[in-house]
Order: sequence, then C-alpha cells, then structure tokens
Amino acid sequence: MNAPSASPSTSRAAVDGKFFRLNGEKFFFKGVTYGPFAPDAQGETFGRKAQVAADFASIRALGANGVRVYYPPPRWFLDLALEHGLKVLIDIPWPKHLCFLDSAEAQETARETVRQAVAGAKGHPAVFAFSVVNEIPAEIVRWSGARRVEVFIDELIDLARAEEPSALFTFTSYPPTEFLRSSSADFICFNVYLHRPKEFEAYLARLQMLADTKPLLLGEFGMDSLREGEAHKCEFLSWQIELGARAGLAGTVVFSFTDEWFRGGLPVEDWAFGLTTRERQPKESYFAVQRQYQLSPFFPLPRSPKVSVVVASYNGGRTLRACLESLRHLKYPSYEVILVDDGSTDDTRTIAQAFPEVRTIRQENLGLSVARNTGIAAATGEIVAFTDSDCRADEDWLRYLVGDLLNSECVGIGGHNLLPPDDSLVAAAVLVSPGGPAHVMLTDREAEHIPGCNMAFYKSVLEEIGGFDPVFRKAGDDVDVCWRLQQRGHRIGFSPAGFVWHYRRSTIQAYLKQQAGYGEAEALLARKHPEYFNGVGNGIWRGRIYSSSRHGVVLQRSIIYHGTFGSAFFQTLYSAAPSFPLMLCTSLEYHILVTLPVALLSWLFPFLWPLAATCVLLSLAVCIAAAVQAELSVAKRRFWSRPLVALLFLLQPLERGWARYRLRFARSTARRDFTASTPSPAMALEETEELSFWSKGDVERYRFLAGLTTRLERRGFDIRLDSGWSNFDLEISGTFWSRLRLITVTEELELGRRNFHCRLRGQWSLAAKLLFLASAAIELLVIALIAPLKPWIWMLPLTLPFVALLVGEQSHRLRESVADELTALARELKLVRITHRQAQPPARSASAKPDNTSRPTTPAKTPGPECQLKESAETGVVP
Amino acid sequence: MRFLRRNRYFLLFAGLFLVCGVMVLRQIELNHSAHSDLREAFILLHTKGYKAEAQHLFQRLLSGLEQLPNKTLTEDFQRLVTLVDPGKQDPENLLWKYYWTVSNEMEKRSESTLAKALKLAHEP
Repeated sequence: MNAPSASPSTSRAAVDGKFFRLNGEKFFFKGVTYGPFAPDAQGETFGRKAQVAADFASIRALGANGVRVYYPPPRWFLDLALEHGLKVLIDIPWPKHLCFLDSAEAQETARETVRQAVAGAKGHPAVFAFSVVNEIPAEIVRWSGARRVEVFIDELIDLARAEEPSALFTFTSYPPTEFLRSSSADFICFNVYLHRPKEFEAYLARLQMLADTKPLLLGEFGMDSLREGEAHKCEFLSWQIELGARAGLAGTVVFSFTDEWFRGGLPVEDWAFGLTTRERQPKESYFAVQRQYQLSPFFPLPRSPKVSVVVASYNGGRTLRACLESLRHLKYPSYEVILVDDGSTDDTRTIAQAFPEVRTIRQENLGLSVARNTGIAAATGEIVAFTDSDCRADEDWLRYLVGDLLNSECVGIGGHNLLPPDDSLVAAAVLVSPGGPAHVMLTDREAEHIPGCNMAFYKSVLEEIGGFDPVFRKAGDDVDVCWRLQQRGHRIGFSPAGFVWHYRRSTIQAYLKQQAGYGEAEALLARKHPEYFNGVGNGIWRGRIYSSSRHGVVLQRSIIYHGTFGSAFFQTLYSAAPSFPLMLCTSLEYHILVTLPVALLSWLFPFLWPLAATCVLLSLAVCIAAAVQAELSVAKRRFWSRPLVALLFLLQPLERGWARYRLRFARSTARRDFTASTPSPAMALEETEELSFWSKGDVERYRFLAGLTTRLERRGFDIRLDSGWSNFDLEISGTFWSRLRLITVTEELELGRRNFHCRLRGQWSLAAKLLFLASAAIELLVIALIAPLKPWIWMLPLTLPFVALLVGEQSHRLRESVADELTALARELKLVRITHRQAQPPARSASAKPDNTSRPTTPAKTPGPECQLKESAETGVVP
Repeated sequence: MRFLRRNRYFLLFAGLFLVCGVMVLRQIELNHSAHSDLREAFILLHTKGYKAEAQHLFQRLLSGLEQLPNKTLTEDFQRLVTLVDPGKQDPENLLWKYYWTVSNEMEKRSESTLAKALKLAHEP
C-alpha cells in the first residue's frame, strides 16, 4: 500500500470499508491536482501530449499514484495516465455558481454534462472516480435549500452510475458547505485549507465523523509559495500529509502539481501553489511531498507495543474461521491472538485447531466478562484488543487502533463495526434496526463508550479496575468498563480508521435473543450505574450515538449554522434528535400502562374502543415512520426490507424491555427476601429515621460513607452516589417499590471530637408512584361510571391507604436494614451511638453543614457523651 | 408531628373515610334529586303536550324504577295521585301509566315484605 505500483493497473478501485481496494490490495490515493491549463486551438485544457507525458513521469517520481483534473479529460490523457500507472479523479464542471435549481434548463445542462463526461471516459481503467460537482457556493445552497441541493447531487450521481456502474462517484465539498450529504456518493471528498496543525487535525476528526462509515478523501490542500514562502510550504505540506494519513484518510490530493494554472479565461500568475514551477522545475516542496508520499499512509508509530488480541467465543463456530483468518493477516509488527472458548458446544474447538498460532484457552461457560478476563490474564501484550467471533478485522485494524491510542491521552480506544458486504439481506435490515452495537461520542475524538467487538485498552488500566465485571454474562461489560474508567478520570478515544466487519444477526429470532441479552445487560448496568439511566431503566446517553440506525423517528429538521448573511467559513449542521415522546409509544411501558388498560376498559365500556385503536395505531405508525426513515443500503434493499425494519422496531422494545424488567423483578424479589431476613429486632420508626454517632475524632465523614457504601454493596443493595447535584449522599434502591436517601452531617466538637448524624428518608420508587397514581385514576374512573347507580362505590378510595401502607412497609423494612448496617459500621469504627436528645444543641454548632466534614470550625462547648463511652462500648448504644 | 408521622396511614384512612362517607351521602342526594328532576320534567312535558319527549322521559323513569328506594317511590306515588284519577283506567295517558307502574312496584315490594313478615310469624 505504501509504494505505488509501477505497472499500470487495468482494474477499477472499489470501496472497502473506510478505504479503497484495487487488485485485492488496499489503495491509498496519493494524488496531485493537474491543470487546468490555457486552452489550445481545440479548446482542450490539458496541454500538449509530450508535456503531459513528462509531467506524469514527474508525478510518478513524486511517489503519487493519482491525479485530480477539473475537466473531463480526452482519452489520450487517460491512456497516458494508465501507461504511467496513475489513476484519475475527474471533476465534472457545470454552472454550479448560478442558481441552477431555479432553472430547469441549467439542471438539464448539468445532467447532460455529467452524462457526457462519464460516457467519454466509460470503461477506461485509468479512471479512479468521478466528482459530479466541486464546491457549490454556500450562498447558492442557502438560496436553493440544502435538502434540494442534496437531492440534485444524488440525482446526478445516480444518472452517472447508470451510465458507468463500475466507477466510483462522489461530490466535492468544502467547509462552507460541510453540511451537504449525499446518500449515493461512494466516498466523501473535501477540500480543506487550514494552516495550523491543531485546527487541521481537529477538523479531520470532525470530517471523519461526518463521513461516518464511508472513506474520506482530502480532495485539495496546499499552500501558496509566494505569500507563505517555500520553506514554510515544505513544512506545511509535510505535516498535512502525515496528519491526514494518521487520521485514517483514504487519500490525499495536493494542490497542485505545477504553478501553471488557467482559470476564468486568464492565467493565474499571482499564486504559486505548485510543487513545480511553470517550467516544471521541482521546488523544495516537491521533494518534501516526495519524502512524505514514500512513507504515506503508514508513518512510523512512536513505538509498537505488543498487542494481545482476545476473542471470546461461545458457540461462534459459524463465523469464527473468518475471524481468525482475518487476525492471521493483521499488518502489525507484534501481536498475539488469544481465543477464549467459553464452553462452546459447537465446532469451535475443531476450528481453533486449524490455527496453531492462536493460543486457545478452553473454560466452562462462565459468560462473556469472565472469558475476557481470562484473556486479559493470559495476555502478554502491553495493550489488549478485543473483538468477537462474529467479526472480521480489517488488515490495518491494529495499526490504526494502536496509532491513535499512542497519539492520544486515552487509556482505551474503539472503532467502527461495519456490515460486511457478504452479510445477508436480513442482516442489513437488522443493521438499521434499533439496539445495534454503537459508539457514543462525547466529541469528535472522545467516546463515551465503545462497542466490545472493537476496542483496545492498556492492560495495566484493565488490571487497575479489576477487569470486566463477571456479572455481565452476555453484554454490557464494554459499557461498564468504559464508565468505570471514566469515573477514574480516564478517557476513551475513537479511531475512525481502525474498523472491523461485524456480521449482524441474520434471523429475527437471533436478533430478538440478542436484544433480550442487551435488555438484561441494561438492567445490570442500571443497577450498577443508576446515574446513566432514567427512572424506568432506559439509558441516558451523554453524547451522540453513531450507528446506522436513527434510533427513532426524527420529526424536526436539522439546523444549519450559515453565519450572518450566509458568510460563515465553517457552516455546521446540527442534526435533530429522534423524538423521545414518539419513541415512548413503542416502549413496553407504553403498552402495559396505556394500551393494555385502555383495551381492557374498551372491552368493558365499548365507547372507548376508538381510543384503544388509536393507542395501537400510534405505536404502529411510529414503527412504520422509523422504518421509512431508516437508511437502508440500496444494494441490500428488497421490497420486504422496510416492513421488516418496522416489525423489528415494534418487537425490539418489547423484547428488550421485558428482559430488563424480568431481571429487575428477579433481583428485587431476591433483595426483598434478603431484607426480610435481617436478624435485628425491629426498631421504632424514629430510631431508623435519624441515627447519631459520637466519635473521638479519628473518623471522617467520607471514610464513614465509603465504609457504608462498601458494606451495602456487599449486601446487594443498589447504590447511587451523589453526583454533585443532589441533596443526599447516597440513594439506596433496596426493593422494587421503595428507595432510601441518606444524608449525613458532621458536627465538630472541641478536642477534635465529632458527632455524626445520619438521616434516612424513604422515597417511593417510580414504579410505586405509578402504581398508586394508576390505582387512584382507575378508581376515580370506576366511581364516575358507577356512582349514579351505586353511591357506595365512593368507598373504593379507602383501598388507597392500604397501597400506601404496603409500600411504606417496604420502605420501613429497607430503612431498618440500612440502619442495622449503619449501626454495625459504627461499631466497627468504634463510634458511639447517641440518642437524638443527646445530640441536640448546644452540641450542634454552626459548622453543621453537609459538606464541611473535615474543615476545623469553632468547637462547641458540649464535650459529648465521652463519660458514657465505657458502659456503652459493648452495645454501641448510649443508654 | 411525631404522632402524625407514626399514624399517617391510619389518619389517611380516617380522612379518606370521612371524605368518602360525605361523597356517598352527597351521591345519594344527587341521585334522589336527579330522579325528582326527571319526574317533574316528565310531568311538565306531558302536561304541555310534548308527547314524544314525555314518552322518552317515561322510558327513562321506567328503566330506573326497580333501583328506586321505597321513600322515593312513595314520593312518586303521592305526586302522581294528585294528577290522575286512580279509579279510572286511562292507558293512553302516560301519567296514569306511570302511576299504575309505580303502584304495581309498591305492591310487589309490599308482597315481599309480607312474605318476610309471614316467615317471621311462622318461625318457632
């Protein structure tokens, strides 16, 4: 891939993930722009054949393998390019600087120009790709409307593709129109002129996010020798080519080969962007680019630490062979592959035997996390990379992943997981259905979490956090690790070019089984990281989700920042988020709390049936709308694809939600039994609501809270810590119906002694509140309907206090249990339990603020119950 | 405050019991006055010659007749006996028909009361 092929290539380049492939090899487009020159007598802008041949030889010597031209070239030009082993990116000019969408004639001219240009070069093996338009002025786009312009670009690409199906097509954009998207383009092409490395690097990261899963080609970049000086230009082009390659671009095109340039009917003489003079004398920058193009695209890494690739597999025989085969061909100097067979019962063992270089570890089925931990323990590399048996790694996967990891301050990194071209049609529908593995980005380079099928971490940080949590048997372990690392102040990066091919589920049954696993993982994650979830257990993502699925119906239009009078140099697109309220209509909660009750009531009261029908139709309409908006690949689209996506939008929330609640119910039942078995005698209500302890002064509040957290977690309570915005220290979710909020305060006494006060306030859980409100609503409805006939029905609300009593009893038992833990901890820390009265002022000083634990404040005069310490040491309670 | 917290469920129950009791009484009163309004509307419409409308209200009165308490039934009887001639059969007159239906209903109820009385008398 580094060295350009000397022999002419007679085949066409094709898109391969984030890159191009030619003759089975990766093809990195290393190009220069060429012309246009002053037209000759025939009006051709490509100069004389002899000059072109000499220029092509010089371009080959430069190390380039392609040229970009701004007019459709004659066949002899393409023949020469082929002869010199160059590929040609052809721009097709038409009057894009006019308001072309206002004139049918202008549009027809554009169509005809594109059609003729493509027909003129049809079948020529030197053609790399066609760009159907280059840099539409931002004002024209603003005038005509971005959406209309996008549709027209797609139309041009589609008609060009109809003319020449085997070619690649794109359109060339630039920062003022960066918001323009084309669903038909094979790759993304951008012209970028930024003169500072930091901004350039950041902008490339942004462009990679915009390009998403398509290759990104830098269509133009360069510098003027006259204004900036040749030395500066050398330095500039050197770092631009290097940063472009490190950013995972699929190609770079330097503007331009020569200073000779003819534009707008005149020669351009006050600019000198060329690598050679008008007389074709190489400048210093020619040699600078030559040096960089020899290295490009793989500039040396700062170092090449050994990487251990861990593949955890449970009955993944169907795709395991392809996975291990791809890992065998990774282009990275030092790596090992560890296959952890998690008790598979299929042909995994036989397949593994065919790969003697792979270290295979077989264990009984203990789940995904344990398997990955086994892999970490066996790893000898400094970095541990993870992929799955249903993935196939790109040959440069590790090179980009490790390169981006080493060049960042991150401790872990992930990348794309793309749909393999050979995957099934159902898998393509699954790809755009909700719930697929996706990366969530906080910025263009920092991820909030990354999917487990493509991630790498330093082994030391994985060991620091104790590896993956074994509680995650099927999924969720990747998210948990990312969040735990972030909670420790670490950062997770994203490598746009380090990608794997990920085979999706190819049957509805397999997809739903996967979603059930994700639902269970969500329930576990919600228990462990409640701050990332809302009250009903749905995730609250703190970044932008990048995946092929839109995750819902988008109602609002995207917003484009054009700048005042449309003059901004970077015109940014702010995509609208899917409508959360609409997506709620497909949730399990909606069906249980709205559709089902209304359906039951409509059975009792037939006049309600239109309401019940509306509830059902609303869900169906949302699913259909989501399927219509899904971005299905044209090649993988059939007449049944969108109905299938709609069906999956309907079934996925039900399956995932059901699995989530099933696990939560199971856990809350277990906890309830556990709570009931608390051995201590029941305490009075007031005794459990506020507990006070006295300390000699060697215990701080944070230590006390840390000890309590550990104890409670050990006993299986779900704990949410104060995120800094709460007026409590801990929220303890003990049962399904109730939770408890604990707030503590320290009173500084004289001689460094302290009083600790702990207040435990019971709270109803969201489920309890919903149950109570639903009961009240149903009772009121029944009363409204029956009271004229049976006045005694008004006594029905007397059942509500019993509902409250049941929930209150749960809350009380939870409080008792936590109070027991508090008392036990106090005993362990040699704190003395004091009664509420003993802790009353004047002992309570002005320093009694929740956040003033260790700050020395004016000591109060009351000495505290030291005198009673001895007699209470055994019980821990002052009489 | 401690008393309130300790007994909050009982107090909630007691408070609701009070409110619900009041609502039951209010509902009974409402039901009763609703029937009286219906009856008076029926008499008025019939008297003014709105046959079809009176017929509609007559049907509504009949449909709720069995649920009426004895007291209301007696009130209806007393009100209608001033408007019709009990000794003269007049099946075309809706007021007389309602009077006749109410009278039958009272008789039916008195029969069941009589049966209960006889049962009591025969008990050892």
